[in-house]
Amino acid sequence: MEISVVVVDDEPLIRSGLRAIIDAEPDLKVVGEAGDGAEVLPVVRRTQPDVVLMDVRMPAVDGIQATRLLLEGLDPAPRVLVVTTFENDDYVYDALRAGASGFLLKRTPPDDIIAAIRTVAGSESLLFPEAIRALALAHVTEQAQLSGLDAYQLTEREQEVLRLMARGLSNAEIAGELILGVQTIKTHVANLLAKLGARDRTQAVIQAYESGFVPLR
Amino acid sequence: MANVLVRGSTYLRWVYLLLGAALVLAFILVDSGLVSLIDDLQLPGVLTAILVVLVVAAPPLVLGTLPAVREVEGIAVESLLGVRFEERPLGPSRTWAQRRRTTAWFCVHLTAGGLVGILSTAVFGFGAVLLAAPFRSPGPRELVPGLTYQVTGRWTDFWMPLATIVAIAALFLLSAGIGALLAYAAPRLLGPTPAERIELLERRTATLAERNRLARELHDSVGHALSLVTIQAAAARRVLATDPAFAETALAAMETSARAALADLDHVLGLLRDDRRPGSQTAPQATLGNLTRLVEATRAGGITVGVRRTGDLEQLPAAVSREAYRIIQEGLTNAIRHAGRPAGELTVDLVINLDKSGLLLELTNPVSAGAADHSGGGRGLAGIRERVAVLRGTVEAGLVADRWRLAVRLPVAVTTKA
Repeated sequence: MEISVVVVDDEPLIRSGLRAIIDAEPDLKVVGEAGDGAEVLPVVRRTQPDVVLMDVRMPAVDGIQATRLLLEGLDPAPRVLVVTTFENDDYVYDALRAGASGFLLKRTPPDDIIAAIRTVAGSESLLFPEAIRALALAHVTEQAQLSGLDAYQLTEREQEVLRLMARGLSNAEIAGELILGVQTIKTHVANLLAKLGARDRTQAVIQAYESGFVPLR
Repeated sequence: MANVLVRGSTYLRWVYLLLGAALVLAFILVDSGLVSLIDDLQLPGVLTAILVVLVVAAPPLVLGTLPAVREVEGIAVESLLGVRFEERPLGPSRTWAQRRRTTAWFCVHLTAGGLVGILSTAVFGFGAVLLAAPFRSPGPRELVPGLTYQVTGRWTDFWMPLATIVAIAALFLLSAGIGALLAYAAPRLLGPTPAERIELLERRTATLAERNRLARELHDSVGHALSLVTIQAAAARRVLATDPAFAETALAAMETSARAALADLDHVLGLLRDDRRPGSQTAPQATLGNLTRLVEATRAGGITVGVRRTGDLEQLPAAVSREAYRIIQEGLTNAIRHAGRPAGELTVDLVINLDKSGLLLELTNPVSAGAADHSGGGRGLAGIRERVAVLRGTVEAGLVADRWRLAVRLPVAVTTKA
C-alpha cells in the first residue's frame, strides 16, 4: 500500500529536497505541498494524505497552530510529523501536545526520515520513545500535580500495555512480552486510547508521563 | 566569642591586615631615609614638620590614585576579607571619584593594617619569650631594655604563658573585629556607587539581549541554511542517476545557501569579536548625538534619508539615547534589506520626536509589492522588539498603504521646559 505525504515548509528548497527523498521510495509519494500553515487545511482536504510533514516555524501560521487546525478540522485526520531544525526547540513539545505523532530533525539521514514516515503511518509503535521521554522530562515541571491516570479507569492489562508503549514497543513486541495475540493488543491499545481521549500513541504516552503514571526518572 | 577564633575567615582577614602592615613597613623604610635627609637640611621647625608630613603622606596618597590599585585591592578584599562586590571582578579605577574612594580605602587599609601589625609583632615577639619563662632559672630577666620580668621558679610563673595565650586570643578577636568593619566598609568605598551599579546593570542587560539576539541570528540563518544543504544533498544523492537535472539544481541551491550562511556567520562572528558592542568595558557607544554620521553613511549608499527631529534630544538619559540610536540603525538596515528595490530608488523618512509622552522613533519607506511578504518580522525587527521591551516601550511595524512603517515609542521621564 502506498503512503501519501504532504510536505509543509516555508522554504521551497526544503520542500523540493524532502519531496525528492520521499518520491525516491517506491511505496511513498508526495501528493501535495504547502508553503505556510495557513495553506495546509485545503491541501490536505484535497489530497487526503496519510502523513503530513510539518515545519514548526513558519511566518504566518506556525506548525503547532496548523497541526491543531488539521486535527480539529478533519476526521479522519492525517498523522502529523513535525520537522524542526533544532532538538531543543520548545515548539516541538507544544506540537506533540497539539496532537503531532512525532518529530524529526531536518538533519536526520534520509533513510531515517523514510523510516519515521512509515512508523507514523503504521502507528504500530512510538516514534523515538527516548526523545519523547527527554522532552517530557524537560517540560514537565517538578511541581506538576501528578494526578495519575486513575480517573480514566484503565484495566490492569491496559495499564501494562501503556507502560510498554511508553518504552517504545510495537504492538507485536507488546504481544510477545505479555504472551497475547497481536489482535488482542490492538484492541487494548484502541480501548486505552479511547479512554484517555488520545489521538495516538504519542499523546497517550505524553499523558502517561505528565500524570506521573509512568515515572520520568 | 570562641567560635570567632575557630573560623577560617578570622585568619584570612588577619592576613589581609598584615598585608597592610607590610606596606606600612615599606613606606616607613622609605620615609625614615627621607626624614633624616630633611633633618639634615636644618630648616626651621615648622617647615621641617610640613615637609615630613608631605613626605610621609604623599606615597600612599599617590599610590592610591593608581587605577590598578582598585583592581589589586579588589582581588585581595574578595579573597581575604570574603566580600562579594557587585562589580565582578572589580576593575581598575575609571573615574576620579573611584580613584579618590580607592585612595581612602587604601589609607584605611594601611592604618588598620599598621595597627594590627604592631600588635601582632608585640604579642608574638613577647609571647615567645614569656611562654618559655617558667622553664628558665629563677631571677630577674629583661624583656626589652628597660622592661624586666621576674622568674620565681614557682608554679605561679605560669601566669606568663597564660597571659600570652590570652593576648593572642585578644589579638585575633580584635583583628576579626577590625576585619568585619573593613568587610562592611569595602563595598561602600571600593565597590560601585549606586550610579555605577545602574550602569553595570544596564550593561549586563545589554549583553544579555545581545547574546540572545546573536543566538537567534545563528539559529535563523546558519541553522536554516545547514538544514537546507543537508536535505538538498540527501535528495540529490538519491536521485543522481534518475534525475540529474534535479541534482544539478540541488547543487546550485546548496552552493547559494552555504555561501549565504558563511556571510551570516561572518557577520555574527564579527559582532562577537567587536568590542564596541555592549558588554565591552571601555569604548563609549553611539547615541543619538552620533545620528548625523549614521544618516550620512546611509546617504553615502545612495539612499535618500529625510530626517525630522523635534524636542531637546540632549535631555535623553544616555541609556535611552543609545538604544534609540541602535533601533534607528537596525531600522535603516531592515529598510535597505527588505525594500526590494535598488538603493538609488529608496527613500526612508525618519521622525524623532521627544515630548512629555516620551520618545517617538518612526521610520517609513515605500516597499515594492513583491517585497512585502518579507516584512512580517525579520531578525532585525526581533532585535528591535527586544531592545524596546527592556525599556518598556512599544513597537508597531507593518504596512500602511504601500509604505512600511516602523514606530517605536519609549517612555522617558523628561521635564520639558515650558
